Amino acid sequence: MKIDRIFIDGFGHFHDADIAANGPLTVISGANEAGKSTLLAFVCTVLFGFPSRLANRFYPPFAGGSHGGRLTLTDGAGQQYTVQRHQGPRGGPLDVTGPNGARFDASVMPSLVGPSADLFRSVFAFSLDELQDMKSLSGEEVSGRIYSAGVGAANLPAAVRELDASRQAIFAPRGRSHQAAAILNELQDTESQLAETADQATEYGRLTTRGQQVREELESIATRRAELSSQASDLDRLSRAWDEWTPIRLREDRLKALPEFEQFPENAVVRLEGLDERIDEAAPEVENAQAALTQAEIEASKEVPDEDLAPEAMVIESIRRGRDRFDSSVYDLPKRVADLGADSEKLTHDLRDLGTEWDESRLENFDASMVVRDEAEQLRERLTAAEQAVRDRNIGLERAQQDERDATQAQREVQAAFDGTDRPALDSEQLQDQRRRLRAARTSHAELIAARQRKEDLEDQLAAFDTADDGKAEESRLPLAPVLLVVGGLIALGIGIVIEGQQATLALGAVLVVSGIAAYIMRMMKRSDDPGSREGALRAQHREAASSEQSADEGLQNAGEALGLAEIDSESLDDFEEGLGGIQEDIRRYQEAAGALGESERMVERQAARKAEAQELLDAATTSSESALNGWRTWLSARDLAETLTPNTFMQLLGRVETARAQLTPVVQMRDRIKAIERDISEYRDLVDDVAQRHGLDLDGADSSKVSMAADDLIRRLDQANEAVLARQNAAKALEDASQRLGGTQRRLERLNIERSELIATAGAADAEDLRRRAGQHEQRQDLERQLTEEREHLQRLCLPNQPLQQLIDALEQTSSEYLSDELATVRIEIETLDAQRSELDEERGGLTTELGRLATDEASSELRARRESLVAQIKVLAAEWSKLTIAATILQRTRQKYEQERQPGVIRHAQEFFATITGDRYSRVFIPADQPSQVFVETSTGATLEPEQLSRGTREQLYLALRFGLIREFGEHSESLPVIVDEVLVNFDPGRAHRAAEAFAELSKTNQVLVFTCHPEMVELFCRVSPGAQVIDLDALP
Amino acid sequence: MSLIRFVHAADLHLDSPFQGIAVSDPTVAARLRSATFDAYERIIDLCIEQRVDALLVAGDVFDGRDRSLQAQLKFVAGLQRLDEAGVRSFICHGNHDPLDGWDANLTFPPSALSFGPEVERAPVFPDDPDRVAVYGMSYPTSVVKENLVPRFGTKGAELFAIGLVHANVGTDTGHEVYAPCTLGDLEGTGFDYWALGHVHTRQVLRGNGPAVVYPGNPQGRHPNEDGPRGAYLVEVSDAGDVDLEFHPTDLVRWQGLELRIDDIDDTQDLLDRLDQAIGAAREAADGRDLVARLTLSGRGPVHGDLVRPGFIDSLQTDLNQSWSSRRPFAYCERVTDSTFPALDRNERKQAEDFIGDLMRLVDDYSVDPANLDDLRTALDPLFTNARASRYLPDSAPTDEELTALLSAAEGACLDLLLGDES
Repeated sequence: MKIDRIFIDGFGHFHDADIAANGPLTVISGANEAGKSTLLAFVCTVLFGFPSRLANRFYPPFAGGSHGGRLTLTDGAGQQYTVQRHQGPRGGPLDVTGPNGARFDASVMPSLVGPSADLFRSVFAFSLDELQDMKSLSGEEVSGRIYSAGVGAANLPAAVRELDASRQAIFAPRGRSHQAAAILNELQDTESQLAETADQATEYGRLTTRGQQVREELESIATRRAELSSQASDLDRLSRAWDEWTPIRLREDRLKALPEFEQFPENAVVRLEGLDERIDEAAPEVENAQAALTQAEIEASKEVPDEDLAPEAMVIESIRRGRDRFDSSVYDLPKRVADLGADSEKLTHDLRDLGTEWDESRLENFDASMVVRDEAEQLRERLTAAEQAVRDRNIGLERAQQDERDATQAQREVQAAFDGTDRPALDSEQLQDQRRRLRAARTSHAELIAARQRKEDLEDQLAAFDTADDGKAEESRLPLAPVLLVVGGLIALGIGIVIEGQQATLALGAVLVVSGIAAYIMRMMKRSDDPGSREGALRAQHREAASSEQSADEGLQNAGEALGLAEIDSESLDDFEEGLGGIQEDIRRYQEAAGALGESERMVERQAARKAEAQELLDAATTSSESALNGWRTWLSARDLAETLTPNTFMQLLGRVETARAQLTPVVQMRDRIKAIERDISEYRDLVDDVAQRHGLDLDGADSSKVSMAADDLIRRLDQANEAVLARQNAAKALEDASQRLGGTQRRLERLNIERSELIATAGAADAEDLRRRAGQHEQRQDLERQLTEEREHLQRLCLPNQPLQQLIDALEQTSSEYLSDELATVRIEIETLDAQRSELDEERGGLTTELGRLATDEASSELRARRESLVAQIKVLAAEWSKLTIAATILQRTRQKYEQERQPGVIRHAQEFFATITGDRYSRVFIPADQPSQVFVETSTGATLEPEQLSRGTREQLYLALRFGLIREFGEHSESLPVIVDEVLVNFDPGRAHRAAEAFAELSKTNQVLVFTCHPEMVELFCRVSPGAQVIDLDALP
Repeated sequence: MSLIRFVHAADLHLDSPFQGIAVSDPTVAARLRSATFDAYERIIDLCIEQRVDALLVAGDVFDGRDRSLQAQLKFVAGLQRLDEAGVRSFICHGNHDPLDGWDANLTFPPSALSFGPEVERAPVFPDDPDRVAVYGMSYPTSVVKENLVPRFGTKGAELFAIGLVHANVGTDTGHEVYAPCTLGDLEGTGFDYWALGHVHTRQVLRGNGPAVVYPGNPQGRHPNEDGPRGAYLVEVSDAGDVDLEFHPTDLVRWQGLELRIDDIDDTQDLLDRLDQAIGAAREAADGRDLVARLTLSGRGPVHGDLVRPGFIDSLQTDLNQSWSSRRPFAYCERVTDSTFPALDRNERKQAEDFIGDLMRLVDDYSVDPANLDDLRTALDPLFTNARASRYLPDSAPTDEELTALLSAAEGACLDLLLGDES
């Protein structure tokens, strides 16, 4: 690739700068600050982009223009491209235009300018500063190129690094964080866990053996414990039996000491004491009975007063019962008499009101029943109705008479009116005839008018045919209808225009005007249509019309004659018709008056008939009324009542009878009651009097109070007598009871004494005291025997099953309590010891079972071994991988050593040639040792090896320039040749070496375009000398 | 009517973990842990279902190093089942479970006979002692380098004599040489059946007169122990003819799968092909669970994908997500990438550049194994590392292993150096 043209739009102080490079070697000269560095930066910037940060401050366009510009390039194949770039995002937008205007994107750039900016900047475009510094060659890619470019192992450094990294990640002898270390740690951990489980089988065996031992020991303990338990049980039984047996022995001794009684009475002492107690109780009872007997005898012998009243007890009891009633009667009588007086007086008064013929007997027997009342009511209604009918018929007669008078008066008035009414001129038939004639006259008149009109129209038409002037005049005469329409329309339009808001009027005007004009045009067209040959026809029609007129006129004359009219026209006909209307009205009025007269005459006749009918009805009613009154009087006399009574007064009489009869009833009742009271008093007095006299009591007349006192006295004395008799009877009974009780008590006492004696005798005792003593001994013996029986039963329970009690007793007799308790304590201690051992062994057995179960099901060991195996497998895989990588690294290293020894890289070989040339063969070799792959060494012609730092500054710059020449040559062998741009690189060279270096550049320019920037005229001259065709561009001379 | 029917099993290695594998799936891991027990249970089931007269176990019942209590308890439980079913059992112990190597205090059922350190004769039918006799002995310690056959003497009065021992017949068995003997030694005893154990791959060294049989282990425990594993059901006719019928008892089957990538164009194609391969292997496993070790080999375009960091791991994860949840499961235990870039090595080797130099260097190593010491030295830091070396098989890889590693290393270098070019 070569740069043909540089166009700077705006970059640093350049603006619109246009530089054409048209040879293999171009020297661009300029004073300091002429812009050589700026130009170099511009070329790199357009090719590789603006820096990613602060691009706008990177050589900003001071002189104006857009920040950037373009380069015109030619590639190895001679194709030209324009590469344009301006400042913008991501290095600035790139615009590449190829041959024929083809556009390319950024991907075309590596094929034009190489793979990277670093490579270009450090190898192809460099200044004195970079030349002085080896570091600018130490970029990864550049350095890789130095050592491996063109040998088919461009990735060698990266490959070595990656291999190392991969190996280190897997395993590093002194590392700790590699994968193998992690797995080894886990393995170690797993193995230590496994070690813990390693003894499981041994442990299981040991535990099983121990388990067996424990089982045997437990069995042995169980056997021994069963023996001891049995022994303890026996001892315990004997020991408890001992406690039971000891009191038995004592009791047996006591029993032997007591006498034995055969058939000793049961409860002898209790019974004796019971008898003594009952004997003691019987003595006072005898005394009491005797005292009661004495008292009863006294009571039974007492006397009774008024004993003679006893036979009259029945009568006196009657007196007692009637006592209250008597008092009441005596008290009531005066009041009842007074009440009777008052009631009798009222009754007398009522009877007096009824009339002298009325007494208590008539009052009582008078029939005032509902039947009588109904009969009276019916008679009254009949009488009343008859009287009412007479009154109604009288009124009817009076009205008929008045109606007759009114009709007669009306008839007279109608007659007068009819007499005043005129007779009409015609009758109805004549009127109808006149109307028919009038219609005929009207028809004839109309026909005449029509015929005359027709005839005149035809005459007009004929006249039009006769004269043209007449025709024009006819034409000029405007027909009325169209004219009226037009005039009316114009007026309406005028109104519409003058007065606002009259659009309807305007429209109407317009319509009228248009209609008028249209009517006129039509009329005119119609006229123009009439053919001239119609004249004959018109004349025929005219004749016909004249004939019609004549015949109509004749008809009209005839009609006029019939009607009596001299001249007939519309008005005369109308007048005639009006006259006929008046006659018709006269006929109607006359007929109405005649009708009214007839009607009034008929009315007078009808009213006379109705008056006669009313008179008949009145007569019948009067007869009926008289009959009813007679019936009423007959009914009254049948009841021995005055005939003068009206039904109403009869009813009043009935009311009074009722009142008086109500008064009569209590009077009668009171009289009866007073009689009864008086009878009661009398009877009671007689009763008392009879008894009183027999018992010395005098009533002394009819004094009621004395009767009462006598009665009371009798009653009291009878009661006293009765009480005394009853007391005496009770005393007799008590006497008998007391006597019997005394006898009973005495017998009982006797029986008790006998029973007591028998009891003492049965017990074999001498007396009661002896009996008590013997009873005590007997009871003691029984108690002892009972206790012994119970205790022996208790003791029997302590025997072994089926063991006789005696056997136990024999055993007890052969031992002692102390021996038993000592022996039992010893056995129990031994049992406790055994239990403790058994408990411990049980616990141990449980633990063994659990542990054995756990061991038998513990899968940890399996899992750990699987885990260990898995980890070992991983270690082996890692080892294989690491081995592979290590061998790979080894063979890479071996190949590199061999390569470095046998095949110095092309870069170094080329650099060595350049360096020898520039230094005039002062240095014969440039090389890179295999063990220091990033270090360059030189060898002098004398064989001395020097590092770059040991060289002079100029020589060192020459070495680095030579290395770049080597790289450029090497790079050119494999890819596109790129332009070489150098900025003041020869200034530190001596003239000889500068000359040879310039020659080298001239040589290089055969393969790569060379652009030399310098501010030294001698350099310009030097390059022009070594390369006669060199182009020189003076920056200072640029516009 | 037969003289005897018995089951011949060996090398149960109860409760020993599967070797050389790392399983991340818990279900699969649990299955593998119980697989040796389950296979043993199947042997017991086989004995009971077939109503055999006896079960013979020819050593290595346990993995003595592990001293697994579970193994011992479950083994006895199985014998107990046989006892209850009227099946006698005869057990000898081998180098993995010598008499001094396991120590739970276990009581064998009365019908089970565990042979001691000296040869014993035991009649299979106690009421007919001369019908069939089993002669057997156990290893007193793990290392028995002596030929034990002479100790067995010669056949006695019985109609059919069975020798039960853990031994190595011949030298090239792939197993450590314990109790070495020759087929001739065995033939010389006059025994009718040699029930052997030790070699994990089943072999019938001789069918009759005598029958010399290794039943192999009943459950493969290692990637190399692939194919069906089980025990022999042996029927001996009245005439003494031996009929062997193999019964697989394994629950998990091993399968090494290799897939060449030469004609595989992309990763989807690769996944499909792997899926097919695993599916076919699972199908062939007879309804058993399958653990596969997968090796990718050859040269092809997907090599570039395979060497991408994490690709192989995610490939394995994908496959296992798809297959390990099925029943029976297929589990891909490891995926080994032995592929190479798709380039013509011979042609590339001719180039006079760094890579050409590298390839020629690799060839130089291969041509002269003495050069391999250089590489072995490079591996010393790992193989002599105090901690790591405990778990690595030997102090350093063998020449053969080194050659394989060298080839893989060259591939790794080319991947790195050529980058996308590869």
